[in-house]
Amino acid sequence: MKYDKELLDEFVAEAKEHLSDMEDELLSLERGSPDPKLVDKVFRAIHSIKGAAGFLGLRKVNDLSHVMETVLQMLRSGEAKPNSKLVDALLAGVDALNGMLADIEASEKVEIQKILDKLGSLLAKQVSPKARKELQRAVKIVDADGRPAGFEVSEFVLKNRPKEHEFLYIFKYDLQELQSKGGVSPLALVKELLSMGEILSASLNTSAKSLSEDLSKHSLRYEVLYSTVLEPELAVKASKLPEDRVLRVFGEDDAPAKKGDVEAEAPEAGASVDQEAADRAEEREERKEDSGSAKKSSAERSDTIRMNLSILDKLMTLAGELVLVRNQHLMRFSDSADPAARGISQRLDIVTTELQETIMRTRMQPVGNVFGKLPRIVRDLSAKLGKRIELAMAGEEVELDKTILESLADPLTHIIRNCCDHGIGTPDERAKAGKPEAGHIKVRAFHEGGQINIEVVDDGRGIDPARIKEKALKVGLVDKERLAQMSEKDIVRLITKPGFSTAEKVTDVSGRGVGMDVVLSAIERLGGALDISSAPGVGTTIAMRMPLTLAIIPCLIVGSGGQRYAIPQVNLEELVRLYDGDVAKKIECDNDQEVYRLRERLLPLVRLDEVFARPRPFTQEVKRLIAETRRKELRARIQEGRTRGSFTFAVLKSGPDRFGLVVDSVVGTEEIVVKPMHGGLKPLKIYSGAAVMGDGRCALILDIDGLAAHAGLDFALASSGAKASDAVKSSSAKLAEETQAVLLFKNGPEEQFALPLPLIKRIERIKLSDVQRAGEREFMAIDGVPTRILRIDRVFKVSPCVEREDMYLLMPKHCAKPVGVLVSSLVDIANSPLDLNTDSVAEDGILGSALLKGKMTLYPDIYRMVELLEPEWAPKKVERAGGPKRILLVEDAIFFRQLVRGYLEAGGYAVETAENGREGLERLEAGRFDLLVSDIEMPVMDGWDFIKAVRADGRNAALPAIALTALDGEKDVDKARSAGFDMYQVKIEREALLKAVEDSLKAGRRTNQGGSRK
Amino acid sequence: MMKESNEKAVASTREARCFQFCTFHVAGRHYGVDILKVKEITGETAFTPVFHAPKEVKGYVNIRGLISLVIDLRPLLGFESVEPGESSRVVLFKPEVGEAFGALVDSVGDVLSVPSTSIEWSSSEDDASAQSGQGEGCIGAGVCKLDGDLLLLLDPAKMLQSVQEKVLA
Repeated sequence: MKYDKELLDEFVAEAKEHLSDMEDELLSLERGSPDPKLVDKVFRAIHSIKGAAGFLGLRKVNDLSHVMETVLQMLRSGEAKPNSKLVDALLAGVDALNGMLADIEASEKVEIQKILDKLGSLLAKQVSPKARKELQRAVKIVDADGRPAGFEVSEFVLKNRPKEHEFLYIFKYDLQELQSKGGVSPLALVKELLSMGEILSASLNTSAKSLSEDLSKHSLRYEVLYSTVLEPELAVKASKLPEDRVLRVFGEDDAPAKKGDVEAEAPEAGASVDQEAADRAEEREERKEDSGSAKKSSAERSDTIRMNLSILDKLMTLAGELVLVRNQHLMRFSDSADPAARGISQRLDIVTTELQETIMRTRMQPVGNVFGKLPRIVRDLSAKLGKRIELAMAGEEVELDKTILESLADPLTHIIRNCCDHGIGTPDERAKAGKPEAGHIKVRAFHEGGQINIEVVDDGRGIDPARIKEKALKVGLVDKERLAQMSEKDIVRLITKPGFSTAEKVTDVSGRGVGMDVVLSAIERLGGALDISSAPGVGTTIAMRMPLTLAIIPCLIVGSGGQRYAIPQVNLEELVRLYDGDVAKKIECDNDQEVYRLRERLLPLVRLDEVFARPRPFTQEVKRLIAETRRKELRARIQEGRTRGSFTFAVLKSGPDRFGLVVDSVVGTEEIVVKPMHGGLKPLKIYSGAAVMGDGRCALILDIDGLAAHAGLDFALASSGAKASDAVKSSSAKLAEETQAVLLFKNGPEEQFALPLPLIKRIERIKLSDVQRAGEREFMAIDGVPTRILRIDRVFKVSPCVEREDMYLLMPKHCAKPVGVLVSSLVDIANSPLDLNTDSVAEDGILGSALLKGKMTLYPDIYRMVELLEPEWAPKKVERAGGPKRILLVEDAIFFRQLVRGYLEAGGYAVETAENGREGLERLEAGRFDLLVSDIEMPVMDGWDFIKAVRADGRNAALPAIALTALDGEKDVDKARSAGFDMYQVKIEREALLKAVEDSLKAGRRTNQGGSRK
Repeated sequence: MMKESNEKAVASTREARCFQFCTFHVAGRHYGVDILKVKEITGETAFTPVFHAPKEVKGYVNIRGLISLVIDLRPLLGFESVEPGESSRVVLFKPEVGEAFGALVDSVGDVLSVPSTSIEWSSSEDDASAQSGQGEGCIGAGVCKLDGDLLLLLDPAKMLQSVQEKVLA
């Protein structure tokens, strides 16, 4: 056969590709793989080989693949089971085909009869008698008038065509013509034909005696019996033949002649040569136009070569290296005085850039290659599901990296299947909804923002959030509370969670346990993103965003420990840099995990250097250790006043989760050529690859998911937006209940002090030089009012004040005269526990101490301080007959207990304290009191129960009682009154409290029913 | 010509007359590898460290666009690791030995031709017993007697294998 070598080589390469996976596939069929697609795939592979071999006149290959095809068809239709004997025979067939392909020119001489016989006899034994009968019965193929068309195929083959293959045609090719005209490559033709139908049979007629002769002088008629979905005019187009060489035919049983409707079919068939003759000229014109585009596409095809991907990769590597050389060259010579050298540099620059771009393009393929499969899928499915679906496609010419394109095929197919199966309703259903009976699916590809976007839009039922909710609850994907917080979009997104399938009944179309989760993960693996939006009843849009290529990815380059690392942009959300004081203030610790509150969301922080220092995944112990060391470090920095500096982290996404990666520096963004990790280092999960940077050194690419896993991040706290902000809210509410916000400040270099924020009226920044002295006392004019300055170190035994020009004055509330506490620096605002340690620092005027931000902190009683410094300002102690009045203070928080006790004692009362209601009752039992002051919210026995118990006991029914609480709603006030309190005081206003106490004592109980909240 | 005959020599049997070894020094000791396994020797010592890899991995190095893994022979042979100095070199091996990798040595020596009679190849039993061991045992290929010197022959494929095992450990 005199086909050129090139064509044969192309055929061999393609056939080998088809055969390469076949062995495995056959074996998994034998193991009983339930995937019906597998048989189909093998069938189609063999079918393609057969078709192409026929066109190339490779008879032996054609014969063998034909028999194998028949066997596979039996498997496909379920007539035969893939038992080991059958698979053995098929494998032998694969081996024989491989053998023939190895030396294709000699393939005609290979003996295959043995295998043919074996397959034939096996087939005869395996199939049911009915199928055997069908197989043996030859059906004549006839034209529209019932005249034999020169083909016979077995009934079985005819019957087992795909159902939608309504049409049969005979295409009459002249291979010689095909060859000499050079218009269409036979292989391309076969491929195109097979994409739309099947070649049932073919015959080659030649005037030459042997195919090995030079055939150029002989005609070479090749007739193909083609079964397809294509209507006549489309079939003519697909065949690339003039209309007169396309004959519509029928199996003799279905021939219209027999049925008696010849007229209807005849003109459509376009078979009559006579009819044709008149229109010839006109038609030629048409074809010329057509061939314009056909020529272009065929020219493209013949211009392509197949090459090993590794050669391309090597080329790419070298081009990358050339870029480096160019960079070095430019650096060295760009400021050269010699204009000629500059010119050369410039040209080198341009050529290198173009070279790199061109090599990049070698990997690109049009998206149409994947889109091409879709019409068939939609057609097949709509027939199967009894729906009418029209598919429209746009942007087929958009180019994508070959590897991405290949991985895109399955997700896209799945989405289309979903659209057909779940999205588009049946014609009845659609008609009821007031939509056209035919559903529409639009698939569109386009460039945007350096990425490829692929959109699948249908006008179907849409996704019903209510059904998703129901389903999600049923399978336990989320709980009710969580669901209630989710937006509709989030709910729709639930369909991409593993374990979710909305199809109520599992269909063989899309409900095969493979859900949208697989689609999502496939797309994310490619560095893409998936977005689903849907309006119930209107339709669904699924949008995919893919990078152009996987070989080059835009990355953020960060520095850590003197090395650079690349973070893929797809993982990057934002960068956060904290400066100076914020570093200490904004980084918190939650459960041994450093966190940063980013817009109401707790963002766990991972320090890259800590990750690098620990090859083993973090345990809780390690996390604790890290958190502790870092806290110490921060503390030390603050103590030493080294607050300058910055703290940078990148907010990264790992699936739905976010975390911050703390790095030393941010170098910039760069497009890098990705190289995989060395095989030996692949087990290291924190890297996804490496790259050569502009200066020729390597940088590692960080695997964000791997990092998160290594750092043992627990996203439960900060998982999704709604939940996280909720966690923050509830935790801050909790904080408010159990803690008191305090201002931390320093006076001397040593001690840290805390003052409850509610006690501070204002903080004034002052210049030390503005302070005026009057004897021992210092004053300063604040808003024109002379304000007495108090120095902490004059009252308590603490380190002396660090004097600076810039100082602060804390001005407390509830002071009779204007005073200010002089402090040297403000440290932070912190939440202080309410339980203070009263033992370690027992000094008059100090309420107690607590460990705050890792530092021992003193709580001065600011009013006591004033009294100690200015005894004459204190409210006059009332001398009472019979000693001081006795007050029982019931308060669980030591902080308030101390504070209030201090106020009361300063007011000249004798105070006894109790920690809760029960203790309070015990105290009442043991002694006599003139007044009760009680908190409401307490453990063991709260204020409500306490006062009820007090009132229930006749002895104390007339004892005046003041409620002291943080609750200040109207309801609470009423409740307090009805429970038995006489007055209601909101924590914590000193003067008001003292006044209330005094009033209550004076008036006794009854007259104070109307008490105040003041 | 020379190369070809050597190839044949290695390919056929160990009865061949001469072997050529690329020799180098690590911690004062003299080592050699089959020269046919060596692709090139480079003085490039700008390594990119790979954290989490065992200490035997010195890092990555870029050799004309190809990223190669550099194995630090010192810890692999049981010596203290040191920073690469002036004379430090990376011996890069051919792709057929293993995926892009090389070995960091203190300095390279001569190429030596050694008659097969003075080579004592380590047997497979030795290998088995040395599998778990550290140092030369697990990457050794044999010993070669020279005039007043002993050349320890190393198997580069085993170097890579040994490091890979450590990564997985």
